[in-house]
Amino acid sequence: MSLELGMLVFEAAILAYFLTLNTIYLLFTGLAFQDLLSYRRRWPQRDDRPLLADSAYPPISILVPAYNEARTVVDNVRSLLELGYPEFEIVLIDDGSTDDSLARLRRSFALTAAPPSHPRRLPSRPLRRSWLSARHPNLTVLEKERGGKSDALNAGIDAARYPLFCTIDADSLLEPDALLRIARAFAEDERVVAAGGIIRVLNGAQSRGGRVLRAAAPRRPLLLCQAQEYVRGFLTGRSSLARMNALLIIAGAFGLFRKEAAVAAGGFSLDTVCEDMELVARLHRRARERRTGARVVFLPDPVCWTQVPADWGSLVRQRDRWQRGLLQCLWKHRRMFLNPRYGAVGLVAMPYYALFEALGPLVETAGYLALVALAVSGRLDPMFALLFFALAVGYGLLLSVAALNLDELLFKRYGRGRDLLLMLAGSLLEFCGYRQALAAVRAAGFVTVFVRGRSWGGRPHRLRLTGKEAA
Amino acid sequence: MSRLLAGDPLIALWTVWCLAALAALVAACAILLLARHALGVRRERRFRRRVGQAARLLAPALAGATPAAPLLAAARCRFGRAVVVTVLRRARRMLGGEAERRISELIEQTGEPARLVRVARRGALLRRARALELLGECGGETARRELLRALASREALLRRRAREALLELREPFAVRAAVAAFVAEPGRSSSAVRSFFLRLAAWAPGELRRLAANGRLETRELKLALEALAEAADAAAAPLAIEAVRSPASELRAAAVRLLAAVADPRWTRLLTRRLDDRAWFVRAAAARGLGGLALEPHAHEALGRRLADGHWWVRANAAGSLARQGACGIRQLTSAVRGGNRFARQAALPVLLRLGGPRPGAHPLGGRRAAVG
Repeated sequence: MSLELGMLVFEAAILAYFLTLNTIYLLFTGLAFQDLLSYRRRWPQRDDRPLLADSAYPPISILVPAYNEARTVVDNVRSLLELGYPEFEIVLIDDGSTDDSLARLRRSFALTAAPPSHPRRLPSRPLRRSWLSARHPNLTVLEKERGGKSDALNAGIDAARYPLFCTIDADSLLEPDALLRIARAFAEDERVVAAGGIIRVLNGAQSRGGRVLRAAAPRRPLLLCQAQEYVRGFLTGRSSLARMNALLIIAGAFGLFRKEAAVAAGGFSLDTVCEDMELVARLHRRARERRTGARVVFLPDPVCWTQVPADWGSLVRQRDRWQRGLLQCLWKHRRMFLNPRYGAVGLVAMPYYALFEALGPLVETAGYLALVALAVSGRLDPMFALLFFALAVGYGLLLSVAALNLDELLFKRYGRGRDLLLMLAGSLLEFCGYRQALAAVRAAGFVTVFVRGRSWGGRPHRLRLTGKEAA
Repeated sequence: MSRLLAGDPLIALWTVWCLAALAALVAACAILLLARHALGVRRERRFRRRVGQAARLLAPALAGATPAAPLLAAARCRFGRAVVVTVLRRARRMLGGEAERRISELIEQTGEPARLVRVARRGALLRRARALELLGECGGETARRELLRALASREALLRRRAREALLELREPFAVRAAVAAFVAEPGRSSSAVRSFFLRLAAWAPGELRRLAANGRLETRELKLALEALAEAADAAAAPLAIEAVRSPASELRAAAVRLLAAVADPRWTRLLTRRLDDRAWFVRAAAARGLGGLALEPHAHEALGRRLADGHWWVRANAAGSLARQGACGIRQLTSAVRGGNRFARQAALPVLLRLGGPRPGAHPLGGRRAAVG
């Protein structure tokens, strides 16, 4: 009797958790629809470039950390040099590469060595030299000792001349008007300290000379699932959290920050796994503690294309790192958890990330394990399992298809119906192993953190250029 | 759980119904997505092709070489009203000048403004706003009347679109009405003000000057006005900038300096040079940058040279850049800064000289780390 009662409670708890989580996602989707439609109302799709390109736009330093990127770095710098923005500089930070990245850059951009000529306000490994381009006055290359991505970014912030800095991965491609669109937030509202754009999956898209010529859905199932995940994650999750000024994540692949605010907050943390999330959390925290009214916003139309992991090994490492980074950040800023002093960040974002993003994979994996255990012991309730699976797939599909509809309604990225069909297939494929595997990986990340105590895996992660995560 | 469901047929029915509804919703969303995409792409391609064909057919009429009526009738018959109107609207925008009025009359003949008026008066807010925007592109009497009427709309979005569309008409009366409505608008957002001022500066800078001069703008708005006038490089706005340069608000002084720099009139060199000693670093930076576009006298060169040792990096960088633009004299100053004793000046001058192919760092060792510099 007690076993039966226990099973009933377990089933009910799993179902309730799952329904709450998906209802929150659905709520986010609704909010995102409202928010993005209103955004489009303010900024219609027609070409606003002549109006956008006015001198009131603050100049931007683009920071590109790179490690052993010889294969792609020259093309990527070329594409960045062609960005449409009134005034910007590119600061490429070579983080102690052991390949011929620097030699290639020197040849392609006629770099001349110069001693570092800027004050150092943030912690980073020593600079060896800085290189200036004779052909492009707005290109600087910093050569420094190996220190990891945060370290490289801190060195870049110190060298940046302009009041805003943009972080992008060296293997990412920005759309030509992406900077104009993202800087709009800063030109309009002086309280904005950080803004994130949308990241789309480059794998499968047609690109030439550092420009994406045609967006297309990837063909491989693993990439397809990730493409679908990115669309859903960015268009629904982030826009609704940003609406409450509770956005905790700005992707390191494409984010724009106010330099003064970032420096005052201490720059990127060197001991964290997900330095981008940690900095945003710190900016929020400082803003609330000092009552500066600072805002962190998400804009859906500045697009950055990025390579996602193309094999399971890289994907597993990436997600494990994200999970550990999330836990680390939540732990570091636990003071904000359910603390009304921190407004929506403390009352909405922190509990959401803790209960659903951090604990979610653990609950999901526990559910799968319990399912297997019950099946083995012959106590599985097939009706419940079937209903649960149907509900999970149905709810998940609804969220994915709604996000795709939102994307098509507002941005029309895919020129061919075939790509949309593939994306729909991707949202179905997600339930055939992809979600379950990633839930297990993230749950393992959770466990790892607790087993290792507060070491968080320690080692700074490698910079990503080819979509493959470092060991 | 399933025993619970099986025990109560109502709960079981409800569960099945929920799942069926969910499945139907997903299917409907997917069908909507695909259908919308397929129809949209097809319609867009067809429309683009027909616009190209209609433009070729109407070209002689648009140029005023042949009577328009027969060609217009033929084009409407062959391609339909929407295509013809799109061609006319685009032509009006591109050709401007005298052709504008003529094309507006042609658009009026198609009945498009009357249709847009109907759309602008009812239905969804976004559609109404878009209709007002299109009315501005059509021009003509009907459009003007409707846009003036929309200035009194209860919706802020419609009022904003109407004001901007009135500016698109580029008629003195319409511009004045738009400006009056702008002044009367409560709680203007920065984006709305910026957008309005940039349009106004491009098409009727005189009106924007008057608006800025009458003292009814807030400091924030005045700054945006000066920036818009700077964007239009409006020389007649210089008196406004000269007044703003004395303002206690540093943002205003910076905007004024940018405006004077954009005008690039040698008469304001002395004024800009004085701003190199402003207490706000961004005003100094704007002045240092602005002076680069002017032919400078020796005292201005000296003042710029002093800014190479400014406490703010941006000012130093702008001063170095501006000196480089002065030719041999500026380069001499930069070279002497590299050889001089001030490490800030050296650090600012050296990158600029390197870009110009100047001294090699080896010849003027500055040290690798900051600690070793100076």
